[in-house]
Amino acid sequence: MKRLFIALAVLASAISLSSCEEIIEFNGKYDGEKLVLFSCANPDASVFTVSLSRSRFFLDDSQDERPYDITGGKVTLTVDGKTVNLTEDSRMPGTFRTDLVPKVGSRVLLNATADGLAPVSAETVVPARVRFTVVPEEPKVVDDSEWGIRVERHFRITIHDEADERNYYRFSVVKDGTDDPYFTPGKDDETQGGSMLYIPTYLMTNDVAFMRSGDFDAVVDVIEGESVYFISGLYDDSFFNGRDYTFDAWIEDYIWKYEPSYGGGHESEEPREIDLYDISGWGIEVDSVSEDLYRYQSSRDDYRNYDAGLGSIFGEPVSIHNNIRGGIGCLGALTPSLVMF
Amino acid sequence: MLSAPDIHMKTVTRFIIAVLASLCISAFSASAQKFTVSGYVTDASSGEPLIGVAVIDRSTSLGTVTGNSGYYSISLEGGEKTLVVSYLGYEEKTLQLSLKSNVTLNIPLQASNSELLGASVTAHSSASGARTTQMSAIDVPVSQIKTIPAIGGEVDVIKALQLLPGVQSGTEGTAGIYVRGGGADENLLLMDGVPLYNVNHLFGFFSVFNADALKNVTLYKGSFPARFGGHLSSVIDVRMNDGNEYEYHGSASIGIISSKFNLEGPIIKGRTTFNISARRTYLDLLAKPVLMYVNRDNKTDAGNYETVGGGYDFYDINAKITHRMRNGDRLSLSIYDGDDRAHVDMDDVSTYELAEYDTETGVSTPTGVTRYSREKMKFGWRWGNYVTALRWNHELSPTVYMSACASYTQYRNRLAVSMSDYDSRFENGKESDIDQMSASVAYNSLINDISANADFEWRPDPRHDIKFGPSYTYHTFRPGVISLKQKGSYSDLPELDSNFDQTVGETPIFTHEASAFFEDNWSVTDWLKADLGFRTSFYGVGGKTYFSFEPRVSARALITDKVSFKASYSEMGQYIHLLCNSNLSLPSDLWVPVTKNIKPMRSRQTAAGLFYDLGSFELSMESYYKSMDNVLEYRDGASYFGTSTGWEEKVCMGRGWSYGLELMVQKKVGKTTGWVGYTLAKAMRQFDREGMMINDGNPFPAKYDRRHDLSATVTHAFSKRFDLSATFVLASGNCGSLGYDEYHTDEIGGVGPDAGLEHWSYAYYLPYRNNYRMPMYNRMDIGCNLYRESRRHRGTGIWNFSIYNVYNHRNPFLIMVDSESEYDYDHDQWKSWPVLKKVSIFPIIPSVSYTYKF
Repeated sequence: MKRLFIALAVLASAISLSSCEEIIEFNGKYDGEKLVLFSCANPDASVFTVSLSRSRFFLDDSQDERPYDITGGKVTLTVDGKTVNLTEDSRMPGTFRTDLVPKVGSRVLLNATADGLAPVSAETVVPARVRFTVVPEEPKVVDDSEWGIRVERHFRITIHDEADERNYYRFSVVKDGTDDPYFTPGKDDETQGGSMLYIPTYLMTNDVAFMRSGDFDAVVDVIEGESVYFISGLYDDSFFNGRDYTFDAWIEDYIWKYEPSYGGGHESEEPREIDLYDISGWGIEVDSVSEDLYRYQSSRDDYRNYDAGLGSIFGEPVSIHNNIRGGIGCLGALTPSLVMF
Repeated sequence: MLSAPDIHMKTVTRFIIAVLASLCISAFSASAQKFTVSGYVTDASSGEPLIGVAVIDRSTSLGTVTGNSGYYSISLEGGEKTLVVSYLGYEEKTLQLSLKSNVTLNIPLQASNSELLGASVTAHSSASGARTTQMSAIDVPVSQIKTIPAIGGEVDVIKALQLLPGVQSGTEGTAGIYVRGGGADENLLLMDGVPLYNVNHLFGFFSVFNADALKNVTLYKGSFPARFGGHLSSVIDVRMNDGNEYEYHGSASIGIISSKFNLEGPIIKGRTTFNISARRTYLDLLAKPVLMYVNRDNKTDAGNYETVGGGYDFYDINAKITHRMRNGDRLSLSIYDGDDRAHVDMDDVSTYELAEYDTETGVSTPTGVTRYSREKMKFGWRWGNYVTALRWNHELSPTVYMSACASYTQYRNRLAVSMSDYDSRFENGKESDIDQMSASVAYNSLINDISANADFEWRPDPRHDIKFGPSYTYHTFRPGVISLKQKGSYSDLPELDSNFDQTVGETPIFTHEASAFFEDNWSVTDWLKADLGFRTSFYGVGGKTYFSFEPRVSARALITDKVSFKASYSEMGQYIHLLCNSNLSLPSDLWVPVTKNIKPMRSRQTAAGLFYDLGSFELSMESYYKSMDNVLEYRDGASYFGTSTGWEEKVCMGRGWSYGLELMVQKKVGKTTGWVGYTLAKAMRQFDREGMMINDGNPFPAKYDRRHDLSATVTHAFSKRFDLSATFVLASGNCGSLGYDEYHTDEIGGVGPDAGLEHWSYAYYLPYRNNYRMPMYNRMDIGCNLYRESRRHRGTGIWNFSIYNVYNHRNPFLIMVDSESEYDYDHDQWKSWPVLKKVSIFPIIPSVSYTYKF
């Protein structure tokens, strides 16, 4: 009997050892490295920028230090029939710029080449500005503690969506930062250009038009019996196509009762005066986004979630949207609209 | 669901009915006085009704075949008649009749090869062969299934079907099947005519069908008879044994994975029979020594230990009682019950004495106070089917036969996790400062179907074999209900005490499905035979009603006595979808009904082929084209795991199509039996509807698209004491999604007008879904049976030895990108590089089992 057990153990070990991973040769058809192009046309920008790089074969085992860099890159931009060559930024190889900035409604065509890679092209149309109105409500204190108060600022937003076309939008909260002593416009991380601060604050709503099922919101929905959706992402107009659509949204703000000390702590600071009703200098920006940009960012977010989640075992693979002919990447377009309070 | 094609089909239907009616009327009015011969054909030794026996009038060459209950009925002109009753594997019987009135004639047939103990196969050809109108259907003899080598020696019906042309297996080792480019949820699996929702044990590695309980297995891949409906791609019609009418017989088997037994015999001799089979795995028992070893160092100290326990097992029971009444009626009650159970238990106890530490002296002094804590966790998962069917077979008249059935089927899935935490303090033997918390989460899903149907067979004329009948099913879907419970009390933080008990989840969905069918198997001339029929169905869900009309037409033209050409057209509709994401069949997979937004699936299939009967050989060559509408695929990145919440948002609705050529040579009788099948096929999907696009709306291969698939299985009975079987499979690899280009994605369109273009992260560019084909799959299995009769001839002992994957080919279970690394001494650093790896999980697997039959 003992011999039988030993034999079974040896057999089980042999089976488990032979059941394992094995490196295999790639047997698919790979059609070579590709030129990667990214750009976004924004009529409010001061320059038009294009980024060029290269892809590499996923099993490339070369120890190249900068495997994605290109050489001999050339980019031409055609806006409504006018063509210019873009200039490569000497400090940022692979980045090309021009001061020919497309306008709303412009047809944009990009062509690019680089040494050893097939030429690529892409086109887009700069979308029209979205019309929307915002009616702010008085702020509400939802939490009052020793050190500060949590305030909700509600808005009634109405979007005028054009009929018979698919439109895509992005929402963000902005603040006029010209007189804010703690931020340097265009320099600090929280700021992006000009004197406008793009506050990393979630704009929230419980409107079903902005429901994204399957994510955390759905869990909130189930557990709490109500919905809260963060709408700082991209949305299409499938729920309100061709209509004036009004919904409630709010932001949360925490206001310290003491002047904050960025050197450390608040205990030694003097109490500050709080004006709950001062929301001047705040604003809501709604960007009208091209379909390609919408699909690129949505799929890229899906890719990130897929990669970070259960991924290949339980999820479907994600193909990041690509609208570059002959290559990879995205040429998108967006047109901002801003309402300040 | 009434769309333009449906309106068009309404016209077609009217046309078909009008033609049928006129033909029937003309056929009946032209006939002379006729009498009917009817009855049951049974196995002479067991009384078991035989399905598919040909009963032919020699003078006219017209005839019929027995149905699922073994009943036949043939109307002939009066006079002297010679009936030939033939059935593969049985001795042909010739009966002389002087037909002057209606006759009831029960016919027992004698098996032709009773001298063999083992695997010499008997089979019938109700669904295949050159002379029938049925095409795209294959009978797989159960005796053949039992000899096919299998993983762990566990005989499996579904895995046998995977070896047939036109049928693709899913991931290696699993019981999923994909028929002619269809999906895993497009197969209708019937056990004694009742649908089963979950046909898998052990995450799909075994099916729920216990071969010991089965009489007959027929796979329909196309040319669907009108009596079947509800799924697009295939019908797997599994019939259970009724039981021996005269003697008790049985078998008991023990293998490395499971043990099982089967017992059959008369309750009332010649009238009432029973047949019961049961099977249970003992993976949980096998795991116990391992767990004992893992926990060997624990529980030596009652105050400090950590144990882990767990196990997995499944069982299934098939039972059937059949009663033959004095008037010839048959009543049968079939029951199936099966469950899979998995559980994990953990228990962690710790006790320690508190001490005071003197920082000056560095000495710890015991305080006499002991802290005690215990954490327990239990995880349990249980899922399974329950099916019961009550069937009544009744001869309404010599030409009209009724089979009525009431059935109930249930699929349940329960997953529960519970945790508890207990902390306290002991001082002078007194317990204080008790903190305790317990929480549990339970997930339940359930499907209940209550069905009733009546099928009628009307044989007014030897040239017409008419079947019709209505059916109704009341479905209850409880896709997922989550129960959350939490209870806690804390000695020093009473404000945190909690007592929470809440149930959340989707409300039950009640749906109604009603259908009716009509089909006429019509012998137009001696060489031309047609099967004309249709099926209609209504499906009501959430205030919305869908209607489906499905024409079914097939025809056979005899080119010679043994060679025929067949063609068919059939449409199918499907009102339910299976939500699943993984390659494995998980019990968390959920069946959900169609909704207002997700429309019923629909398929149209055209097939044509040549068929050649060579006595014990059958050769067939078929080609087909199938199109499917409203098929579902998950959106990019969508992950489904155990909850149906918002499932409509995670899927896209599109279309699919597949086409192919299937060749098959099958030998069903004799000492050598088996088949060789080859399939050349292509299956594609396209999702181009607005808001439901995948792959930018461009077509892409279906996941289980395989260009080539060759499979062969053969069994040879060398003597009555020994038979040998082998299976060989050579097929194109499965499709998968693999990004060939690595690139960095940029942040474009960032907030602010002059937001930069910043490299965001690296990604693999996937040009389209299922772009990569895994390496070719090949495998050979062998097995043998040794038969030894007991000394007093009371029974036979059978040793089965089998080897799965005999040359240990590492077939890919999945493909992944990984990295290898080594130290580069020249540059004094680690160097790594990407590699492509395949993971194989089924190496060579020998197995042995012993069965005693009596």
